[in-house]
Amino acid sequence: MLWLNLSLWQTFAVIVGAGVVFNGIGTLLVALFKSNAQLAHGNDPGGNKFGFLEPITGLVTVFVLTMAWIQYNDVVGRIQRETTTLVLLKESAGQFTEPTRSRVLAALAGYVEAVGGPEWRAMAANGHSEVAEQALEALVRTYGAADLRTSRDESLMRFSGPVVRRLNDDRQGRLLATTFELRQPLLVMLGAAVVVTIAFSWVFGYPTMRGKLAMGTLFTSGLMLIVFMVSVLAHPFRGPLAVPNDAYADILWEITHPEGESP
Amino acid sequence: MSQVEALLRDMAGSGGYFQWLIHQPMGVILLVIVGGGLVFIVGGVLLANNYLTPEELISNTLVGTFKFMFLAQIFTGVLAFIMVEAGNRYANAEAYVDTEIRGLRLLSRVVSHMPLENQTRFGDALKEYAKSVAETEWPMMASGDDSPISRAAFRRMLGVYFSFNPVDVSDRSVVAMGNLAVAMAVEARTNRLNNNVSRELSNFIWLSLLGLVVITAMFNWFFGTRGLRSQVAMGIALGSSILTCVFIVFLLANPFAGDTAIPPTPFLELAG
Repeated sequence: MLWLNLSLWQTFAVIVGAGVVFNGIGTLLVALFKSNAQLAHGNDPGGNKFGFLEPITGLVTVFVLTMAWIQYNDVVGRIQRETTTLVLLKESAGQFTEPTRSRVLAALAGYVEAVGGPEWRAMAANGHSEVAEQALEALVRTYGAADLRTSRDESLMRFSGPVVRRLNDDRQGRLLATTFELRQPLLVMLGAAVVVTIAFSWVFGYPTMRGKLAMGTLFTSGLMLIVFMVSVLAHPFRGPLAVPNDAYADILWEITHPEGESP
Repeated sequence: MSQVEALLRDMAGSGGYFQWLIHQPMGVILLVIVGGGLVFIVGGVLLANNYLTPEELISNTLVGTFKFMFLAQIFTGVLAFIMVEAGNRYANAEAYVDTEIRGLRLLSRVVSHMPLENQTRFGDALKEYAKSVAETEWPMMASGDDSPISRAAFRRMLGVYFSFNPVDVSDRSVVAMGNLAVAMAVEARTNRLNNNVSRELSNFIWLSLLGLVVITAMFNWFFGTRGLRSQVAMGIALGSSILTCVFIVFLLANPFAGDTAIPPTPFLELAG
């Protein structure tokens, strides 16, 4: 999927442009074999007989778009939940006495770095990172072996324990969400519906060729706009709408720069 | 430099044309979005009438209307979808502010069971945090940023809370309740700051929405009647309804900027 390396505007131009070119070629090809008057004979029977086609296409496009958006939003939501948990741990970790404070913050930084780096790249291939897995285990071990020197440390540990367990759940939820890609049959169904609907418009007669081309172009652009939306939403970790790992980078910055500067 | 150049420089310098527009009065935003859009639609109708004959326009209407009308239904669905998302984001922003305030108030009540010294220090730290959020962080949230001053004040406030050493069962139960309030406040603050969509997603939504509006408007240029006035009137009616929806999406997509911005009143009340 070469288009995944393009920017948002380039992807838009390529997808919509390809559709417009396809429509233009098809319209002109049909015009070579059938005149407008000949095609116009079929408008009434064709429109009445096959009028169901467009609502079906409408249903398919809206359904696939909704599924793509739900999936994308689910991934973003899981990431937001995990970063919230990490912020909770970060804020409480900074309150421990030494040496627990330094050890816990270092382990937390290790996990955040692993997720924002190797695991982010692995999620683009629907996978996970062993480095992040080990970093999480190291974080859990660090909390488990923490040297609690004051009752304040004990109080903080009672706060942090459930949060660490929640972090594990959040990570599993995030990885699960990344494995749910928009199924190939849905994308094929969308593509087929759009191609058939565009091609169907070629066999209708219009008063003039320029009118047919102009309206056909707009119609195709509209359908391809939906295809564009689905295409970019279907890949939350690749392409022009890839979810950024900024939140993890910000948390890592705040752990390593506790003075309060902005990244 | 001409006035137009100065205005364009001012718009670009305020974080882009989009950021400039959201900080204008609602009337100006309405004029730019709806007015500008209507100029585009009516201009296109007049231009199309220069090149296409009334017979052609009427024939296009007969064929094109039943052929392409389903596209209008798809677009209505997509537009409704975008409006619901924008409304949801605005409602979430309000909910996060409300949850954070409730978390802070609960924490304040929990601290009232601690020694006087802790109460005084916490009260001062809470006021400092609330004041910094209302005065420094709120304007920054309009551009999707947070304030390092508020971040540091928040950390200091938590530091005061966690400095309390529970000595008996009663203290530990106070701390257990306090921990819930801390989690509530930290989560709500993080969600409040992360509620803005990423720049890429915002560009994607606006590109899709504007593409949808432009295509719908341009379609209208090829359908006509014998009377130009009727065609212009219908174009204005269609354009006004769609562009009003775009205007509403624009306002809802920016919960912390403009005339419809969520006010920092709860934080000002906390700050006293």
